[in-house]
Amino acid sequence: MRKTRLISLVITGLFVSLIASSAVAKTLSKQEIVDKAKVFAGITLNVSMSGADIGFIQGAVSEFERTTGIKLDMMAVPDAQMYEKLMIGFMTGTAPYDFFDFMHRHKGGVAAFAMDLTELNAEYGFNVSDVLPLFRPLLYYPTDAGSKTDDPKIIGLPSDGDFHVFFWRKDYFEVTGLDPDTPPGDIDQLMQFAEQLNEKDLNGDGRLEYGFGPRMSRWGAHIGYSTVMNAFGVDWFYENWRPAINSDTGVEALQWWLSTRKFSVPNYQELSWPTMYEAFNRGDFAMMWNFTSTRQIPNLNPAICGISLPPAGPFGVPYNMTSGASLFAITKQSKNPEAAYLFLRFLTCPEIHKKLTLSGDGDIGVCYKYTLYDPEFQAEYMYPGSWKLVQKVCELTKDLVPAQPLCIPETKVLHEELDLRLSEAYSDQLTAKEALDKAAKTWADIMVKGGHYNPGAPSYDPAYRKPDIDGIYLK
Amino acid sequence: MLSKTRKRIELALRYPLCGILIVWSILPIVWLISTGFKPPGEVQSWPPTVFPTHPTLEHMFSIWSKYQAGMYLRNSLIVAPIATFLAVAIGCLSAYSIVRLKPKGGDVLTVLVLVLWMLPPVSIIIPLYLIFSTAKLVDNVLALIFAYQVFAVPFSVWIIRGFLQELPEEFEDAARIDGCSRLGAFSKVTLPLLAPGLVAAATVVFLLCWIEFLFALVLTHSLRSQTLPILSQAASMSDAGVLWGEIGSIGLITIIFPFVIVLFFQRYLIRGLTMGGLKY
Amino acid sequence: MARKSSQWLAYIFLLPLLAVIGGLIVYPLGTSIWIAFRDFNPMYGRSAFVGLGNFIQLLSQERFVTSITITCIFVAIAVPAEFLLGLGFALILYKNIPGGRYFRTIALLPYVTVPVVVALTFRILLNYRGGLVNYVMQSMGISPLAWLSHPRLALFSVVVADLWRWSPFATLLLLAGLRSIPNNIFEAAEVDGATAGQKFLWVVLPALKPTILVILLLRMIGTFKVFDLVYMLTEGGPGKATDLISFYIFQLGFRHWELGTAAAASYYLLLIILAITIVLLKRFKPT
Repeated sequence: MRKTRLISLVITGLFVSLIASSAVAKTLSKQEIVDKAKVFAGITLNVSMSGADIGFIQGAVSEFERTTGIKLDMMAVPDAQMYEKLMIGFMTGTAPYDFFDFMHRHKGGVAAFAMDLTELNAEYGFNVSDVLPLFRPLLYYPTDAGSKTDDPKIIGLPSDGDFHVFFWRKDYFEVTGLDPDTPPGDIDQLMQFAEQLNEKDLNGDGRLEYGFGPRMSRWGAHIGYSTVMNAFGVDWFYENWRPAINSDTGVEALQWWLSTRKFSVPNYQELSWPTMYEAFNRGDFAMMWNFTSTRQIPNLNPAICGISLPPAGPFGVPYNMTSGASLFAITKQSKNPEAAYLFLRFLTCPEIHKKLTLSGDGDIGVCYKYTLYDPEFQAEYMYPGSWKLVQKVCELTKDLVPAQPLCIPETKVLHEELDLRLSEAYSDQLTAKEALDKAAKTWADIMVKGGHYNPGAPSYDPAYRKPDIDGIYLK
Repeated sequence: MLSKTRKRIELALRYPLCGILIVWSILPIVWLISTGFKPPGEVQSWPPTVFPTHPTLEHMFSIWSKYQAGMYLRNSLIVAPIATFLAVAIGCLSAYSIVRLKPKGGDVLTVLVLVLWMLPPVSIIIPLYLIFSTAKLVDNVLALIFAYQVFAVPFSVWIIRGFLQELPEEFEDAARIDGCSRLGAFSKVTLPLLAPGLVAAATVVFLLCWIEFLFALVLTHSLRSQTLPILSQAASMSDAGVLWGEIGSIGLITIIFPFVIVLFFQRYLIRGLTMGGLKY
Repeated sequence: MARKSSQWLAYIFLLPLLAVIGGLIVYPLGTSIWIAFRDFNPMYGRSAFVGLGNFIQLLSQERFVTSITITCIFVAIAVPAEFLLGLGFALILYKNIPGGRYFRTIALLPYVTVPVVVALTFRILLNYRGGLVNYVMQSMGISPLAWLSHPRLALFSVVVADLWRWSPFATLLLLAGLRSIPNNIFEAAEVDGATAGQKFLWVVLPALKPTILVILLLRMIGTFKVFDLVYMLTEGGPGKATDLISFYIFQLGFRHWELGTAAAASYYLLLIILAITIVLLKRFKPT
């Protein structure tokens, strides 16, 4: 029974995708999705979602239940432990979910449990081109920078998109005699500016302010650092999966990053992304790069805060290595994948996603074209004062080419090892070279265990390169 | 005459020292509570303010409405008392058995209980997780109630054992001579006399269950079973940054219950702790 | 006959305890041994028997060795500090003075706070720019310190938070200990013309010996297990400066899924605690 159904699904899928490849399908509206979902009225879906307990999502959930007759058993998981919890549940077979959400950088871990959405996308006409280009590679697994493959699969659709941008305080620039509207153009200029701004009482509170706030707390240290890697063109691996982080350029990049500490607020070791926003708002330092958090940017004062792309390094190409997204996905074990998929599409359809982004509940960044370009969305945006800043962020996304994220099952362990070694370098317990060499050594051990050096294993595809898969980077 | 002046000097010295002690003990608590009433800009303002200059109830409201502190409080209020009751019941029975009925192997068991008490929770958390997940109890308050017995039972056994040893056996013997059965003597004579010991054990164990973090972190997933310490952790790692105001308000809710214990059951708490610590 | 029935009753009364020990301790520890002898990682589906491989590999693992070292340093500083502070407070609170009862209650308050909340409170107090501690230092003309950013200072900060939370326990036991010293010993010492210092050294300390041993023992065991304080205050950073062993085992198990290594590491921890306990108990046998 099920088999024939699957085969017919595959055939329809192939058929639809044939049509789709010739002409981009129309994006489904909320009403169309609800109509299709009504077929499944009466069933219950198990949903695990971070932040499902708050505000607007609850409204959307009850609307879906009401209009389609599908029951949703919602499980709210705090984002801080979402991945660990999910993985334990999957590995021990105790996660009864049909639907779940995850951060793109955990894709390598959850991929084994997530359903390939290609067929469902084809059946229900999903346009990859609706997703803003910067976030598009994040949907695929194995991604290119995971292993070379001609056949990447979409395993999740995004609900949220963020990336690193550069923030500077125009008021501090003005006090120091710098042009408040010109951010540093490259990293050398960044250092010049930082030196000029550093250790001066820039806001008249009788204390010293500092030039730069580098993200150097231990957990997630690689995230702040990847923008530096990006500036120097350092990749994670060579094509044979030997670590590239400790290459000569890699060491040079870290040495430069360490040198920014001269002009940094002394407690840089405590700066994680939220504490950086806190410190920047309070006026501890004049410049930083950080995520485009829609929960935080509205707190910034557009009159004194500038936003631009992070200053370029020697590499100079507009890649962005820090684009990130939360993705909605369906589990392989789901008995009602189609119903779960329709719930997924419901949450990401133009009408709902717009409201989700507008609601300011959870950290929902703009990641769909239909939201970004919706005039109503632009007019209604809940933070009128900061809309300018958000708009600026949105404009920036158009100029960027995403660097391929590292997405293998080992990603998280690799990142945590790098976090630790970077943190040791930041606190002068290791030199740049020692830190990266140590990290690279552990990385190699991890890769051996993961079988990436076995003959016949797919090779690594570099992070920085021109898009080469049709449909991923529709301009 | 001389000793009187000496006493005065001593008294005069003692009060400043007590002052230091009070500031040290109370300042972080005051700071935490006042943080809950400070508007976001004031949490780390310069100069720091002990009391909020513009007090706000914003966080006090938002933890209930937005972050559903009520659910966490409910879970805490289910888990800690039930776990305490269980541990005290088990402790009472086994301490009575070991002290009064003196079964073979009782001494070995006493030592074993001591070893349990030394066990680092982190060393059994992985197998415990696997056990509870096979029993489909993960993310269920029952899992926490059971898991808390790991540290609660040794404590209650030790405390109640100490009290029992201090209780003269004569009363019970007298009751038995009067024709009471063992069980009757236990329930009618020993248990009432042991009541202060049970309360003491309960206060100590309740406190331990109330503040527990590691088991709760691993064995719970959602509002269905997460306790207050997990809510504080979530508020410090939320998508919206570190929610200091909310952390202060949650902290206040979290410490109210133990403080009430100190106010009303201080005698028992102290006796419980010293009994658990000093009686070997 | 009566003896036998009471034996039966004894075992029936012990059943719940045996169930707890069996189900929640012996069985998990057994599973844990089974895991410790395997290269067990559910994430990659590894589960090969490696014998003592995990135990041997850990000894040459830099992070494990550092973590054990740091934990030992932490215990070696925190436990005596807790004891000394507790002793100081107990001596202050010992004499009955007007209001003394309230002071004793207040001194007990830190002990009933929640460690997670304590850690977060210390994060506010120790903040470089907005924290009270640096404010006080600056107004006294001392330049502010990055309490949680410097490796040594960060460990020190964790010690301070630990000290704040746990020294009341020592105070409490020492107060009870001081109270139990019979008055006539003091009087005898006074008759002999002993000074306050001599009285303390020759009368008070020996009388307190069992209490002191218990405090050191219990707090040592407790301090080896510290998890929530570092988890919320420093998360092991900067570098691995505050990567205490419990937190490291947690990372191994629940972040890297190296359950085999984590189980082996937790056995090392258990053995260390056991060994120190036995040595302490042998050394100062309580009378």
